[in-house]
Amino acid sequence: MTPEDLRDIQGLILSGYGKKPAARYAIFQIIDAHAARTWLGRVHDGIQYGSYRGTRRREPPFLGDLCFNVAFTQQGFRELGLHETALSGFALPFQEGMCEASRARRLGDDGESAPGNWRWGRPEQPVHGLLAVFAGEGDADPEDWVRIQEFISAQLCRAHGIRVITVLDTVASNLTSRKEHFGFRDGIANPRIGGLPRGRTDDVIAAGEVLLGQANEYGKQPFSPELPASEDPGGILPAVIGRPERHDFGKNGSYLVFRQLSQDVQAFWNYIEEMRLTVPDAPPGRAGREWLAAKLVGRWPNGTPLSRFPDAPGPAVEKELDSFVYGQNRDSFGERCPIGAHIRRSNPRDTALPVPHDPELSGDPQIDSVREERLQLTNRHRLLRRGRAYGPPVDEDYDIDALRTQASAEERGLHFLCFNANLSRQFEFVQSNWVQNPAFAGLSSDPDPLLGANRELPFRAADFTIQGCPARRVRKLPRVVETRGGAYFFMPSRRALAFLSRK
Amino acid sequence: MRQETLTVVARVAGVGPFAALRAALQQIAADRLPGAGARPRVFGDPGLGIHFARLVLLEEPNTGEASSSLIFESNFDTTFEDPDQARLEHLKLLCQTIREPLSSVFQHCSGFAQDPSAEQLCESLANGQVQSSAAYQGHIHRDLARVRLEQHLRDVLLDFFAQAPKAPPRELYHAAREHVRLRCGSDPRLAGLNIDQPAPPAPDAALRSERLAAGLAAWIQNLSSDLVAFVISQLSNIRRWQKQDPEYDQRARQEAWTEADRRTFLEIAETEDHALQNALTHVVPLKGADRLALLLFSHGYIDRMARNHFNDIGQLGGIPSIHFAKWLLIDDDTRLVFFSNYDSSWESYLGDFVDRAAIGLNLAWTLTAQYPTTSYLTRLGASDEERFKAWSRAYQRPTQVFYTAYPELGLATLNNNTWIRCGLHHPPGAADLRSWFRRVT
Repeated sequence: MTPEDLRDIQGLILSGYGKKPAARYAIFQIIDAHAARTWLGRVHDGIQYGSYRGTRRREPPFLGDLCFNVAFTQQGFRELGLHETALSGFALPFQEGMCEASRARRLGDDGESAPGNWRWGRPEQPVHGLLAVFAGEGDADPEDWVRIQEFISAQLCRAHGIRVITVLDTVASNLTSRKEHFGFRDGIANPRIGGLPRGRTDDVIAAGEVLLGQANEYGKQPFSPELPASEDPGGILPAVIGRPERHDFGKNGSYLVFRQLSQDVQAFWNYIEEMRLTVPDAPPGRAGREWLAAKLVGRWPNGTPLSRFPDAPGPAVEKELDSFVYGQNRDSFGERCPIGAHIRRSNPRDTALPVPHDPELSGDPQIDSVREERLQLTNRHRLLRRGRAYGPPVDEDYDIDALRTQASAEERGLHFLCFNANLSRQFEFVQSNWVQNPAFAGLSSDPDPLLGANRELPFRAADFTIQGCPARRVRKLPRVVETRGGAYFFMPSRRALAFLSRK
Repeated sequence: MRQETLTVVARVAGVGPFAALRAALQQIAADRLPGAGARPRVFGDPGLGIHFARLVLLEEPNTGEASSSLIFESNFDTTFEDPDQARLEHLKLLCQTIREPLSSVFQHCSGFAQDPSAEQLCESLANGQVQSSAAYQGHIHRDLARVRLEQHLRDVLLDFFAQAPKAPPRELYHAAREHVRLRCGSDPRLAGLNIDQPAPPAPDAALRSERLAAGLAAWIQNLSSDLVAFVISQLSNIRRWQKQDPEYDQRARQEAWTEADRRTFLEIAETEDHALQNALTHVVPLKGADRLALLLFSHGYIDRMARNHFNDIGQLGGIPSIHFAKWLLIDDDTRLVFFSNYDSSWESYLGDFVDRAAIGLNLAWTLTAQYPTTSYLTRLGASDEERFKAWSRAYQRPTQVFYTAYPELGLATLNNNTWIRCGLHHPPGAADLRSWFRRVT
């Protein structure tokens, strides 16, 4: 990736700004296209781009004190007057939107989670854009939130042709110990973008899995929205290589999936308490609760993977939390981390699919080349997650007993954000074939225990199997996560934003 | 009991939009069985022995290039060894059992009477039969009753193990066996199961192991001298075609999408993902009549591979999620139809095409219109991921009526259930016992 690319790519794609404790997401509609374009022209140079990733950590340029990024939906680009040719060049899921009926079915958005019940992103109230704002350093300062809110109010206003639909808060990241509300360390398993300076060298995926205009895991450039060069006489956008009559609007941009997911913490831990009594192998008392919950999640609450520490949490050494594959831990068949556990089905790594317990069909996990091939196939479905929790923790120490017993009426959950270059092959594939699928990896009626229980399609399923000799099974998984809003956005490059603003 | 496949193609009378026929199809689709899968009741009579069925209206523009057709497909149980007789007996049974609904749609087709007797309808349907140029079956030797019994057996075992005290594997195994033996007397869903008798026919485990390990050797073994000679005779043509034939232009097509295209995409999506399985209906013209002979040779080869190799191992060219699939030529051999009943989503299925089976599928489609360019019939092609998927979707048609007998059962699970059951009939040795326990999951 060249320094020019880094200057072009919006910063949130390259980093979750983890050190900035405060964040808000403003979801908006464009009400006056001309005013909105003028606004975009004024702010687009102030947006945080990725050039800070091109130097050493302590060398400039640094992240801004207040960072912000913008993204638009298909309707948003249309409102801004993007050329029809470019609009038709976006991926079909993006064009149709997250709330399209058959898509909602595939993603498990039914019942309480049906798009008609969403707070934002409902079919009748189209979303046009997202402004994501981050501030602070280290511990959260109430002033950071004030600054963010003032910034949002100043930017997203009628004078700029914009109406705010909702502003979504997050919980200060230094208060969460990087845990999600069920009490587990989160955001561990994120792949690294290939070719990015200052990146780790393990778990790397091709840049084109995240960014348009870069080569993907198939060695091809993802399909990208283009427009006739005549529509860009100033040459703001890059020309398409080999086809100078076309300019590339999508290059260095990425599709952003945004889902607001509420979590019922008490229901989760009550279920664990009820079920641990039915599993003969569960240790008694609190240890049993922690053990069963860890089986469902695939990690202990401190983030250590079951695959490496099957009996009790290990030391939470940051760089070791994600550096594992199942085969090398004698866990090819789910006897440590169950096959249906949340982290295993979200990223199966080297799990032999379609049926791990049929090595003749799926490949022998003892053979290195088989595992490597499997990892390569898995890497064609990876996501770059950038989410943050919202709502106060039930208990600031995430004590698992307090999470179960401490009543709290406030809503809490996760603003799930992820970037990918191919919505169908990446986000939608993971959601429908791995997370929602009760027959994932040879299971029979086991959906994702956190995200997929009791969805109508492909059929109602609510079991969870703990592989072993013998296998144990808990039933009647409750729905503990519901979708409250969502949309597909596209986060364009600096050049694409400049082009849009000059329309 | 074995499984057979039947396809009937009938020309729809008159010109589109065939509102009455569409309404009749809609009526069949809307009368659903309770439970998962949005399954049409009409095909759910257990006496019909249908695993998968579909009704598809292929409506063509009134340009005279292709005629509109109604296609019925059924994959069914039969005791008849002779395929023709099996199909005829299945048609007779269908016409006796569901004459009215079948007639309600086929009455809109040429050669079908308005209110036919069962015999008349059967004769008309039999006349419309089209043989597949290649066909595959992901599970053999298992009728519907057996599929359901083995599915339930796995559940019984999982429930037993959920509460069983920890014990050495052999002890646990015998306890499970005893539990099943006792349950057989009281559980009607295990009726007919006798684990003290040898297991009923199943894919031969040793043969399966051998074939799964065979890899490329199986393709070489199933080559025929005729095919090799014919391909050699066509080499100069093949080189010319791969240089000159236009391939699918994803950008041009996508940028030109009309509202009608978008409606079709939505109509296809609306029929998908109601069960664990989906139906793919794909129709594409051949590149030209001069390719027909080579296509038939290629399909003959795929068919031979299916019969001699893939049907025994539960995967087609590396794809482990297809229950039944077939290719057939319609409209005087000018268009190629592909039907498959597959697990999971379209994206997952097509991804398997790209990642696991590009070579075999290239062979099946390389001679059809706009297929991504191949090299010597087998290389490249489907491995051009986005172009291949876009091509596939562009030629896909909505499946207006789709029935699956087991909407909760993937192929891998179905086959695994059989191995679990076999392990109860024939106690595994020490080495295999651990594998058996791993399967019960």
